Amino acid sequence: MRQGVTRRDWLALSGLAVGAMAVRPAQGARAVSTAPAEPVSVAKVRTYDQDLTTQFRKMFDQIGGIDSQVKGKTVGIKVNLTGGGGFPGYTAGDTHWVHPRVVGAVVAAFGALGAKRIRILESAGGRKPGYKLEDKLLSGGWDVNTIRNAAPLVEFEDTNALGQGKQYSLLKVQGKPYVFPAFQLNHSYEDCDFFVSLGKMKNHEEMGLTICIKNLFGITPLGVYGNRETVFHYGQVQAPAGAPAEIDPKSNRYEGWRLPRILVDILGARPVDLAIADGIVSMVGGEGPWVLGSKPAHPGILVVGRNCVNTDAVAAATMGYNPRAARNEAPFRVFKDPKSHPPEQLQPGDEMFQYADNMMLLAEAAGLGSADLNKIDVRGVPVKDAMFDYEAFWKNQMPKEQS
Amino acid sequence: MGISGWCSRLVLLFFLSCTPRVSALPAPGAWVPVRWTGGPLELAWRTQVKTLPADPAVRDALAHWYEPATLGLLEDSPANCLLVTWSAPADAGVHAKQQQLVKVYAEAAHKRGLAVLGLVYAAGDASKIAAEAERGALDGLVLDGKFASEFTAALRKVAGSMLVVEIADQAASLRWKPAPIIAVAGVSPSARNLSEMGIRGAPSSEPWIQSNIWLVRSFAFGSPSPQVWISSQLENASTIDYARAVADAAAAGGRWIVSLDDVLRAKLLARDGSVLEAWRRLSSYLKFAESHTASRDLAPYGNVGIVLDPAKTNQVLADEYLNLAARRQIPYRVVARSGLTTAAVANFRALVITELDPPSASERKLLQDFAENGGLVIAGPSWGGAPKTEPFVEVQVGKGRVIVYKDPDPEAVARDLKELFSDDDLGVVPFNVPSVITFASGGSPGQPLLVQLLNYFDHPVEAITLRVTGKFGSARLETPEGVAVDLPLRDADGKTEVTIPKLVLWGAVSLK
Repeated sequence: MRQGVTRRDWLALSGLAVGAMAVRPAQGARAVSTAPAEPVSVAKVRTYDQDLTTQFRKMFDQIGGIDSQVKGKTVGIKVNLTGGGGFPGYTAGDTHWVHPRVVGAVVAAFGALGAKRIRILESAGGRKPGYKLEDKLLSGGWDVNTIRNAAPLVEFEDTNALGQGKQYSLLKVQGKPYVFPAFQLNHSYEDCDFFVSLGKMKNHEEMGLTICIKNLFGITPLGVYGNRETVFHYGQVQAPAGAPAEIDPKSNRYEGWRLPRILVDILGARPVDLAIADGIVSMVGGEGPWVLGSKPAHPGILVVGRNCVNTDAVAAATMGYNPRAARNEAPFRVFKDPKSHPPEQLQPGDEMFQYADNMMLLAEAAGLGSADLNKIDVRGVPVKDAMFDYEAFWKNQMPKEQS
Repeated sequence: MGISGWCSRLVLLFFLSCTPRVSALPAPGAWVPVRWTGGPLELAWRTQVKTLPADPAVRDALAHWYEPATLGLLEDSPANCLLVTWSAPADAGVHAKQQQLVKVYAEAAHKRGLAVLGLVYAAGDASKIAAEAERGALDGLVLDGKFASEFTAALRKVAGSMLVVEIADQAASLRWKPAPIIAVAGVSPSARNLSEMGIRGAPSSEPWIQSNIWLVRSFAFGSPSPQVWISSQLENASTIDYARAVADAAAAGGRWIVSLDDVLRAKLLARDGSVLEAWRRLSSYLKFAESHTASRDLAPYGNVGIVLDPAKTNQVLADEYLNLAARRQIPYRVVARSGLTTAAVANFRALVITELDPPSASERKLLQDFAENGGLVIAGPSWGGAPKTEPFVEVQVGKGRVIVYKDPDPEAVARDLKELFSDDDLGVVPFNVPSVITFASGGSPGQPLLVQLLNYFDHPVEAITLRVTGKFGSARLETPEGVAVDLPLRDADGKTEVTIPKLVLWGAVSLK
């Protein structure tokens, strides 16, 4: 029996205090702290053809304005990319990358607010000699020059390696870490005054959700860590010499336990000043078209907030999920393909028992931000009006007029 | 067949009889083949091989296919070489009737400037088949099936000057044999995401593309290159599938043996509007292909050479290197082992020699020199120094490198090629092409560089970027769907970039 909150539940509960819903804390999460709660703006945006720059300016104003933090400053934007390919008729930016028009609009908005320099950041490169982040963007059909010209000074940096830096920056987790005390990162994550996580609102095969917290996983450079899967997901090998070692090499190796905590550690090491979630077009059932059973969706949602945890919590709610859901509840009861995961990464039993801990609750427990909708001031479109029920759509249970 | 069908046939016959035309036959190099089967022998053969259409109307259309009216269907089509049903095991009466029917039809076809080749479905008396074909005034024979090499040789011998084309299952069996026309069984061009096939891919996975581009280009290593015909029968094909089949064979200079399914042909005969429109679209793709025949003279472009050894027993594996490298958008040229000379390799930046197993002493010396002068050699374990655990090891040799694989396989090598080579090494680098295969040709001094792109998804692809090494003054995009457009050129760190706003199915970018 599923225990997730359905759209109907949401509609029924919309007049009640959402925080009063009976939910269990995520297993292993510390006691609920007085984590910060800041305004989050929600908008219903049907297509990428709309004037997104104006839309973002409006949403920035709704959360109290960011002008003073951006003017004359260096802004780093971690964009959410992943593997290529695509669903027929869709670009990668439609479904599993942030859309280039969203990136262009955000850059234009920051430019208009007086940002001195804007850096588009993502760890994209492999072994190919001379490979640049722009190449990855071109492979998704992006108009790189339009983005480059959207503000006075726009740079692109592939953060899988040193890039323009001479050495990696050591960023320590502010507060008590779960798994890693610090990370070595490309200099751009330190050399920016205002850091933006620009994530896609989609499901994730192992973590349940990708939004703005999960987007940060890509800031870890392969140039240091070599293989994110073996070092971070599974903990099969330790971080290489020179990189900060994990606190307890004997801790739980199950990725559903381990990776959500590492994601919170990364957020603790590189706090986010602005979180932007792109759910105008997206996908359900996985993080890319390679996940079996995944499919494109048109939620028509944008979410913007100063606090990354608050923003993810609101975005998750607009996706029809309970942001305080426990493991084994949607979306954190996950369906991992046994053929593409090591046997030790599969819980005994069958796929019904695979799970991921709720990274938002773990972040809340770490004091990084509240995942409690009752404490977050949602501005713009109310959650219930913006909602697109990912779970129902994935299971073909959504009423036709809403899908 | 209904009364209206007969009436339309009679009207068409009337017009056909009023417009006799006698034209010179095209030379074999200009033949545009179309499978044009029918008559009583076709039905008898289909009955034997259990592929007789269930629908009586379709059977009727096949039975009457050699009425002159069907020639009218070719009025505005570049197809000019009919592959007609000629020889198959059958009752003597059926055989005689078929040959009489085809003889009359071939005469009418010849008057319209159409060549006629007889399809032979099964082996028989070679002398008799050749003599009958001679009497039937056929322009050649096409062996379509499985034939013992002895029969093929005997038929060629008795056929004299009459062309005998064998549709081979495997390209490798024909690659090293000189012939004016090479026909080979191909795939139905298509693309599917792995997830649609129930396969959980990786983030780096790309759609599974079935294409014949590599197959056609695999014959383009000599001069002149032979005409390559691709034989494939599409199933449940849409209009765009037929157009794609034409483009897929033509991109690298080949020709698809146009093969309409039976139902489509029956509807075509009945002048069904939507099917006539599909036929017109297919013809427009044929016209586009045939109006760009100059591009057939352009040799494949590529700084990467893939060396093939005709004496190697596992030619199918060798072919997979060509197939998968093409899928990974590696512009390459095929090099025959016998053509591996100092002068020949001087035109390459990288050589894949995994099929030289092992290289001879002189080849090794040549390749060592190539690497020392800055080239990249990709070799199998017989080169020596293969790693024990890692897939490959990279060894610096002079100004260049040798990559030695522990256990090379085409999939891994093709994937790695993309990362081992810089943009300069590759010369032509396309972006945003998961469902597209590109084929570059020309680019020698005084020649345009032609980059053809074929989309294997039914949905158009937007914003494809081509990055090309060198400076160019113009880039022109031509497609079968619209007028040619000039693409703006951009400088990209000394290279040239152009963006194709939208690719429906087939496009050719000419850079000068």
